[in-house]
Amino acid sequence: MSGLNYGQSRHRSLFFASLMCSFWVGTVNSVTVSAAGEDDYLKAIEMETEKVERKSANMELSSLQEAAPTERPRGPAGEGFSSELTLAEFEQELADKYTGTARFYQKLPRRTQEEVYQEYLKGASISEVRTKIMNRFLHR
Amino acid sequence: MKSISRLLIIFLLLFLGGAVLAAETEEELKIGEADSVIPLYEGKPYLHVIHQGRSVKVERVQDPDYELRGYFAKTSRKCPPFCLKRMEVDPRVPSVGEIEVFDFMENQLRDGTGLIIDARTPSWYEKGTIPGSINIPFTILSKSVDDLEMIEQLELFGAKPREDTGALTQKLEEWGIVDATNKTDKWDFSNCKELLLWCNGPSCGQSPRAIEGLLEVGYPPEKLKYYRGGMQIWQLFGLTTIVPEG
Repeated sequence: MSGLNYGQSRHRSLFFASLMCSFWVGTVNSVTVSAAGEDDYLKAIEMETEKVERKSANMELSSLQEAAPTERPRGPAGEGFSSELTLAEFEQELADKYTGTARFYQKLPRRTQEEVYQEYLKGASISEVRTKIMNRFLHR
Repeated sequence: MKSISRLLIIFLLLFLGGAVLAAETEEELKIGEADSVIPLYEGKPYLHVIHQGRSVKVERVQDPDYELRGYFAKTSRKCPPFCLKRMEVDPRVPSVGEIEVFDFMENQLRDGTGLIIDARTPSWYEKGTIPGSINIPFTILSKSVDDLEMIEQLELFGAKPREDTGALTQKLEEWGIVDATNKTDKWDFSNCKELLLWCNGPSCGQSPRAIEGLLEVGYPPEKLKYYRGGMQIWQLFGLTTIVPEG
């Protein structure tokens, strides 16, 4: 009888020990899986930031100009117009190369001038920039 | 002599007519300019908000032909993890739109009773944010109530750590004899600020996680707001964004 009890209690202890072990392993596994999931999510978020190349539509201009040069969007090349100019350089080059357009540009409100410059920064060609200036001047 | 004077009169009339026409055209242009302002919403052309100590004008792109380009013009993102989120993070936390964000900027933010939180990771924030926002990433706002970073943020939000409340106080609060509204064992949220949280838009899970984290530590849901549109819808409407300094 006592031998049977000893065997039973031994089986019970083994059963509880294995239950505890599986519970512990399960907990550790779920924590690990959850942590790995979080890591994957963070990785995905960070990878996604690399896709953000262009600045927003209505970004504060001063801040845009303060941004690191590597982050600055490329301006248009070709058509005799330089790329990646600052606002002052852009206005100067416009005045030098397209005097007529520059006159209309100067008559635009400051905010509209900034919009034109942002279009240039976002890669619009000089023809597009000039068309935009005229459209804005003529309220088209 | 007569013909010369006639010519002079004709010339004078033509000149006056031209001047009147020019004045009218100028007037029309002025009216056109005033009419062409695209306001934030009807009757509200723009507003100013303080961002990193300086005033920033929040307005919409004034060019009706402007089309959004770049990342935030994308229609789809990989799902998971960037799946569309429900309108509400939690039924107790109101989701808000752009006009409510403007109101929040002009009221709670201005009088210091509220904060706008860009809950994205710093690398997102650095690329541009909504003016008036501070960056507190969801990774911090998802931490446990005992975590030092979470404690710092809760103090910033105006929550007060509670001293050892004692068994008697706890019982009295439990029975409703002592007011325990907006209080947990560890924090008193009675005077905490209203928080408006946002991230990249309807398919972004960063601010929902931050809201869930704050609710988890006992932040009162009525003091939280969720701007689901986030950066994507903000930019879609051509609203001002800013690249933070430093």
